[in-house]
Amino acid sequence: MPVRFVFLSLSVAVALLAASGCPQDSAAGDVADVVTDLYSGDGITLAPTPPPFPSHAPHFTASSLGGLNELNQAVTANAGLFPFSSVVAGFTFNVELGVPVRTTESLGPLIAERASTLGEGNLYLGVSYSRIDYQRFEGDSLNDLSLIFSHEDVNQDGVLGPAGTPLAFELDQVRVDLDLEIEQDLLALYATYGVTERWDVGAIVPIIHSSARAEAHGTVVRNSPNSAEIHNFNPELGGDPADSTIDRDATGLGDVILRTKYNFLRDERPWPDLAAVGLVKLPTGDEDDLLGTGETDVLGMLVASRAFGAVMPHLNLGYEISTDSEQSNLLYIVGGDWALSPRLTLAGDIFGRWEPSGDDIGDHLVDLAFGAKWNAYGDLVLSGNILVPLNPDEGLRTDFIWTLGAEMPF
Amino acid sequence: MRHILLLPALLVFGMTASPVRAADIAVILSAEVDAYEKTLRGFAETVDHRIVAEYDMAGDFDRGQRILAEIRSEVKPDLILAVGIWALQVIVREPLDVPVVFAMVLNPPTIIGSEPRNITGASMNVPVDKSIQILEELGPEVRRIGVIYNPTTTGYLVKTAGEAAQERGLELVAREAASPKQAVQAVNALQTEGIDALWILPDETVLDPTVLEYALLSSYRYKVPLLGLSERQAEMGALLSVSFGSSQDIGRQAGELANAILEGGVTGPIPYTTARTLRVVVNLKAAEKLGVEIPESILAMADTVIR
Repeated sequence: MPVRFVFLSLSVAVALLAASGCPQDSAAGDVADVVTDLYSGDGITLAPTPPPFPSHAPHFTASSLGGLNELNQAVTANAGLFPFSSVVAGFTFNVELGVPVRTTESLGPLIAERASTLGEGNLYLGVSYSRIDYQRFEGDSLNDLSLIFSHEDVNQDGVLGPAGTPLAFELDQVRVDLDLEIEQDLLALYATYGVTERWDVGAIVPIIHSSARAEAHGTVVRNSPNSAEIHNFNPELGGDPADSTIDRDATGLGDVILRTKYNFLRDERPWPDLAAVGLVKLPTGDEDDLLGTGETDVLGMLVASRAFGAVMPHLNLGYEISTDSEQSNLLYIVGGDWALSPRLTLAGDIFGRWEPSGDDIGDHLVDLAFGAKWNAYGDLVLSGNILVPLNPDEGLRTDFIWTLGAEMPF
Repeated sequence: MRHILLLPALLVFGMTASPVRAADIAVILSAEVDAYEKTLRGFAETVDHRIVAEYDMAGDFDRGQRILAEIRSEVKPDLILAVGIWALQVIVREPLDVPVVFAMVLNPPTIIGSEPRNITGASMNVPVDKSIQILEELGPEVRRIGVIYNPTTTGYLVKTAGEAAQERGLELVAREAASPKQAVQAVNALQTEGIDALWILPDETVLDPTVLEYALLSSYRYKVPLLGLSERQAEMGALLSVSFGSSQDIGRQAGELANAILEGGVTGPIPYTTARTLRVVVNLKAAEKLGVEIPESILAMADTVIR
C-alpha cells in the first residue's frame, strides 16, 4: 500500500477522531470562563448575618477579576500560537549533471520558515500534534494562585471601613486559593502548494481540544472585630460554599491560517536567500472555548536563510497586527538546522514575540525550540520537538510543549 | 517503496495497441522529480505493453537493491525500465536475464561499460554532431574547438566528437583533466595555445563551479565563444547552450526501444539513443561582448534568446 495513501488516511482519520470523538462541551458554560464562573460567577456570597446585625448577604466582588480576565485573554492568545512546521523539500533535477539533487542539505527548520519554496506543482501535506499544559501565569504557579475578593462598599462612600467604625466589617476580605489546570491538545493539518517555482501558498487547519479545571477554596480574611460573627461560608444558610470547582472542556476547529511565501532572492551570493511571507489567521476558533483568539491577525515576515554545507542558519522577522484590536506584535525567530545525515536533521530556534504597546502581561515571550527531523521512509519525514520558555515568568506559560509531526509530498 | 499500478487508461492503451502478446514492464524511478515523471509519462504513452509495477528508490541504493530483488522474485517482468542514472546503477550491479531499457541517463557508457549487455536506452546526451554543427555554423573563423574532459567520464564522447569534427573539417583540441584544478590549468593551456571556441562537455570535473566560472571569464578575456550545456550556463554568460529539450520525449524514445525489444525482430544489441528534441539558448548580450554575429540559422533554431 503506498505510503502516501496510508499517511493521508491516517491524517484524516486522526482529524475526524479528534473532531468528533471528544466531548464538544462537557458542562454548561464556556471553557474560558472557568475561573470567572466560580462561586456562581457573580462574586462570593457569604451566609446571611445573624441578629443583631442587619440581615444581609455580604457580597464580595473580585477586586482581582481584572487579573482573571487577563488570565483568560492570555490563554486565548496562546491558543492561537503554535509552530507552523516547515516542509521538507525533495529533489530537483540538475540538467547539467543529469542527476537529481536534494534541494537543501537539511530537512529544514522546526518552527522557522526558510526562504526556499517547494517548486511549481509540488504539494506537501503534514500533520502535527502538540500537547500544551499551562503551568504558570506571570511567574505564579497555576496550582497555587491566590485571589483577593473585597467587600462591597455598603454605604457607597468610596471608602471601605474604616477601622473603629460600625462599617469596619467592610475591611474583611475573602482570599481564594485557586488550583487551575489549563490544557490543550492541538492537532494541526497543514498543506503547502507550489504555485510557481518561487511562490507557495498553504493553509493550516487546527483542531483543538481545550480543557480547564478551576478548584477554589475560599477563606475569610478577618480584618474587623466582629468578623467571625458576620462573615462565614455556610451554604445551608443560603451562602456560597467555601469550595467551588468548575471543570469544562471543548473540542473544535481552531483559528485557520492561510499563508503565502514568495522567494524573491535565490542563489545570489554573497546574499542569503530571501523570501517574503504573508499569513492571515482567521477567527474560526471559538474564543469562549479557548479554541481561537477571536481576532483576525495579519502577519508579514521577511525570511532569510542560507546553506553552508550541512548547516543552514535562518532568520525570520515579522510584524503582526490584529484587525480587530490595536494589538501588534513583533516576531523574530533565529536559529539553524544541521543535517547530520541526508536522513536526519537536528534543529534549534529561538522564538520571540514582543508586543511593544502591551499591558505588561506577557508582552515579551521568548522560547527555545529544539528537536529533530527524520526522513524515515521514502519521502515521509517525521519530526519531534520540544519548546521551552526562556522567560517563564512572563505571561501564561508551560514548562514545555512537545510536538510530534509527519509530513510528505503528494 | 512505491508499488502502483498505473492509470487504467494507460493499461487499456497498452493492451489494445499491442499487436502481439502484451508484455509486463516494471519501472524503477531513481527519485521523484518532475523530469522523471514526465519521462515515465512519455514512455507510458508510447510503449505498447503493460506497466505492471512502478517503484521509487528515492535516491537510496539499498532501497533500490531491495526493489530489484522484489521485481525479480515477485513481479518477474519481461522488461525493466530504469529512469535516471541511480536506477541504472543499481541494475548493472546484478546479472539480469531480462532486458533493461534506461531513460534520462547522462553518459551511459560510464555506467553500462563497453561490453554488450542486455541493456539499452534513451540517454539525455545531446548528439555530439549537433553541438559541433552549431559551432561550425557560427562562421568559418571557428576551426579549432577546445574541450576539457576527464577520460574516465567523457573519454568516449571526445573520441566520437573528434571523428565528427574531422568529418566537418574542424579540429577538436582536447585536454585531459582529472580534477577541477587541472581543468582550470587546461582552460589556460587551451586559450594560450589558441582555440576558436570552447565546448563544455557533460563532465563532472569541468562542471565544477570554479572551473565553469573560470572558463566563462576566459571566454570574455580571449574573445572565445563558449558553448554550454544548459540554459543556466547561457544565463551565466555562455554564448550558446544546447541541452535536451524534453524529458517526455526521451521517455518516448525509451518506449520505442522497449517496443522494438519486446516485439522481436531485432537482432544484436540495440545502441542507446541521444536526445532528439533539443533546447537551444542564444545569449545576444554575450555575442555583443564577444563581437560575434549570430547567424540566422542558429537564431532560427533557438528556443530562447537572451537579449
